[in-house]
Amino acid sequence: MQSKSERSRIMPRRELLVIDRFEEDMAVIEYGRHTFTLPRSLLPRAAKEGDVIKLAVVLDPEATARRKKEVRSLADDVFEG
Amino acid sequence: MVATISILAFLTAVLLAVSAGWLALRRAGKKAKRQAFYAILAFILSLATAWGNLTGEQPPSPANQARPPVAQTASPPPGTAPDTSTSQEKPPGASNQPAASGKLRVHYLDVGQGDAILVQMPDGKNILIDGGTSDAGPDVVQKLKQYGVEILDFVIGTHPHEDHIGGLDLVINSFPVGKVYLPRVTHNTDSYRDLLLAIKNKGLKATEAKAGVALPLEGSIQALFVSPARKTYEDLNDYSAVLHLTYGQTAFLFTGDAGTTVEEEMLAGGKPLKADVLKVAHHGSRYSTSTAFLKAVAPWYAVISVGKGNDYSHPHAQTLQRLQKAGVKIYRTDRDGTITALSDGQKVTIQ
Repeated sequence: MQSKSERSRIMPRRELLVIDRFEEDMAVIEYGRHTFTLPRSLLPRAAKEGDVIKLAVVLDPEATARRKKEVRSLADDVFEG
Repeated sequence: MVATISILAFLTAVLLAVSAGWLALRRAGKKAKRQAFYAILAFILSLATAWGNLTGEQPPSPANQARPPVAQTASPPPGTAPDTSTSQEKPPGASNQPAASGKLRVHYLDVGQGDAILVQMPDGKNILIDGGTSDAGPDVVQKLKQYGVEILDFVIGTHPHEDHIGGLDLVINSFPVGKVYLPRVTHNTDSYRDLLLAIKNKGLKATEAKAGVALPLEGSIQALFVSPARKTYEDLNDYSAVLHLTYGQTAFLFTGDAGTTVEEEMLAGGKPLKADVLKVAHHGSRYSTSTAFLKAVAPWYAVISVGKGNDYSHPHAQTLQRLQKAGVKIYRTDRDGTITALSDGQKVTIQ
């Protein structure tokens, strides 16, 4: 297995995310030699087949904390004792 | 040898008959009767040997009976294969009739969610229509080898979506390829770029697939693109190269992912659409296979190339209902695996 730095040296071109097609309410995204689907609602309205997209994944600590609190409180109700 | 015996016996019969007649004229009753008896015996012997002579030298065989009159008069020298003389002496009009043993095989390969169809012609030539997804590429190559493919004479990429052309670069790199047909539209994906690179690196050129273009085939097979007819469409699916293939009295329609707009266009353009087997467009999506289109194609069988438990609920219930209402027998690669249609030029059977 190559290390990250080796790979970026061999393949300086970052693998693109390309919209291959839309099927129903899903967008089929090509990433390298593989595809995955994204709900169309997550993409900008103007997105078309063939568009190259950027995905920015941002962690949301506040929402995480809220969800954690909610589920824990629910669990306290559900568990015995 | 047998011929001389029969001639001798016949001559003896004639001599004996003449002498019996002469004796009868001279009223030598007993002698004449004996001579006549011998004459009849000799005549029967001559007939028997003559019959044996005929059947012995020219055994009636199906090949001889089927041969046209021209071939019958010229007896082929011993050791010549009767088939070659037949095909050479066939009148031009007969070339539209397929050979009795010639079978066309169409394999709708089970490649999950995607399309890959292998057409094996009676003369051994192969057509590949689409090559599945990028992930399915190695599987497609292996399946082609299983069906004895050594050369792909024609490769057709119906349209640039990854579930149709994703595996084609690997296929092109794995087999000698004759001609490649693609619609004249590009796509920005790696899979489409890799397909173009595979064609280029092999020193091949792509031929535009569009309505009116025919594959250069011989004999009783014709393959004609009936779509796309326009230069531009909104949806890549609608660029799909739609191929109508006929073999003798039988026909097949390969639709790629063409949608209802293109179906209407093909109907309006009066294109040949009638087929025994319809490759249902777009994995059975509700946006293809309209009732009007089905009426024009009037297929006996429909094949849906679809992956088990796919993300898009293909095939859609509406499409299945339209097919059922039209009385079409449905085959699906997710349930039936690879589906093979066999044509002898008269009739199609599904295996």
